[in-house]
Amino acid sequence: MERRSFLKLATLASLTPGTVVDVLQTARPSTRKRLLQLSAYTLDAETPLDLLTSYITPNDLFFIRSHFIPTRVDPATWALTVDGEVSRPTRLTLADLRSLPRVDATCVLQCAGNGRALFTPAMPGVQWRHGAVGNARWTGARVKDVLERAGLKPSARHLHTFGSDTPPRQVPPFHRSLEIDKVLEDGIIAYEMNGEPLSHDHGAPARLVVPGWAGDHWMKWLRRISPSAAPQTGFYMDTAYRYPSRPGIPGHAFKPEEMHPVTELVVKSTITTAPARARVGAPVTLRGFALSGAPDIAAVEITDDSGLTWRAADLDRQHHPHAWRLWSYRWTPRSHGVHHVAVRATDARGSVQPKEPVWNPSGYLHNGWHASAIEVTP
Amino acid sequence: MTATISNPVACALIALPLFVGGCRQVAAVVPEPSLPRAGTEIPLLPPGDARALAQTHCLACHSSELLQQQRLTEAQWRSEVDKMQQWGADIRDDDKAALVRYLSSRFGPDNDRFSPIIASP
Repeated sequence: MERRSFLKLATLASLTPGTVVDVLQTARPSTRKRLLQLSAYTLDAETPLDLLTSYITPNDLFFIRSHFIPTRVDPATWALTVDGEVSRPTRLTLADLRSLPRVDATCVLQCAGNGRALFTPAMPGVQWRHGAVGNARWTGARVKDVLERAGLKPSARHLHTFGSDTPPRQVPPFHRSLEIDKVLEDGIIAYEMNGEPLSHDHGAPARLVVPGWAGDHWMKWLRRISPSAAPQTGFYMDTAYRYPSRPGIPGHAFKPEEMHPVTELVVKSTITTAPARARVGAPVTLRGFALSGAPDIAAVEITDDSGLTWRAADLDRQHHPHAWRLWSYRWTPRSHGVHHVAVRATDARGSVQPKEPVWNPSGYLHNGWHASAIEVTP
Repeated sequence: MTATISNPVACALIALPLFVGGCRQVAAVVPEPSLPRAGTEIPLLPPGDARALAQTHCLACHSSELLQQQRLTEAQWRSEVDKMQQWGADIRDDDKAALVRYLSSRFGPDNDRFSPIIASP
C-alpha cells in the first residue's frame, strides 16, 4: 500500500472496529516492481498488495524476512550436515541433494508475523501489514529421503534445524525444531524457487519448506538438520513464536504455560484489488487471495453490510494443497456513500475466518477480516 | 549495504516524493524517481536529547526504520532495552533512562509517522 493509502487508513479504520480497512487503489496505480522495506539490515521487505495478484508470486517480488545477516556460502563447497538420531551421520553436497528424487510443491509461505502492525495494542517487532506472504513452486529433495539415507532412528520425534545466519553479541541464535512427523509427511529441502536456483535473500543454497506451516519453520540458509527425541530449546522456541492456547483480551499477559508453538497457518483472506471509487449500479471487480493451514480453501465470501449477509466469491481454478487460492467478486454498489466491502474465507476443514484475530503478545497469525473502502457516487 | 543521509542520491530520493506530493498538478510530467535498492537505509532518527545514544546502541544491530515503525509504551521500551542489555548491548545504567525516554517519546503508541521505504527488488 502506498503512503497516501496509509494516511487514509487511520481515518477509515475507526469506522469499523475490528476490521482492517484499506483504500487499495491509489490515484495513480503503478505496475512498477517494488518492495516495501521495513528494515535495511537485516533485510525485511514486504510485497505491496497490488502486486500480489498472480497465482505464482515472482521471485523478485517475494517478501524477504531475515533474522540475522547470513554468511554467503559457495554452493560448490556447501554441504548439509545430518546428525543426531541417525545411524549414519552424513554431509550432503548440493549435488548429493540433487541426486535424490526431485519433488515440487506449490504452496504459500507466510511470515508468522504478517499483520503484526494491525494489532492493538501494538507489540515490538517488524511491523508487517499484509504483504509478508507469497505463493511459489518449491523444488528440492524430500526431507524423508534425506533422513532415510542417513538412517533415521525411531527415537526421533523432532527435527532440529540450523541456518547459517549468526546473531551479533549474545543474541540467541535462531535455532528451531518442528515435529518430525510433519516434515516426514511433506517437508522439502528446497534448492529452487519457481524454477530458479534459490537466491541468497530467500535462503540459498537450500531452505526448508513446510507446507501449511508458518514461515518460522522454513529455515533459510540451511546448514544442519538433526533429528532428536526432544524439541529444541532456547529463546526462539521457548519465548518467541508462541501463541495463546485460549484467546485472552487484547493486552493480556499470558503465562508461558498458556502458550504453545506457532505451527499451522490460520484461515484468512486478503483483498488485493479494489477500486477506490465506483458508481451506483455499475459493477466493479474485487480480487484477492485466501490461505490456510488446511490443504485447501472451501469458500470465500463478501459482505457490504458489516457481516449481516455474505455472498460467495468465485474461486480460481488453480490450486494445489497448501497453496493460496485466488478469488474474484463482481460487486454492484446499490447506494452512494463510502462502503466497506469485507472478505472472509472458510477452509476445507470448516474453519471460518473470524472478524477479529486472536491478540497475542508477539503479533502472530493476524487473520481478522480485511475490508476495502470504496467511495460510491450516484 | 547501507547509505547514509549524507549521500546526495539518498537526499534526492527523500526530497522528490515530498515535492511531488506537494505539487499534484506537475506530478504527471515528473518522471518516476529511481527507487533505492532493497537494503538501502535512508531515514535518520528524529532529533532528541538521547538520539546519539540510540544511534550508538540501537543502530549497531538494527536499521533505523525498525525503531521508527514501533508504537510502544514506555514500559515496553524499557523491557526491550533490558532485553538488549542482556543480549550484549553495552548500555550504561546511567544512560538507560534517557534512552528509554527518547524511544518512548519518539516511537510511542501514537506514532503514526512511519511509512515503509519503497525499494527496488
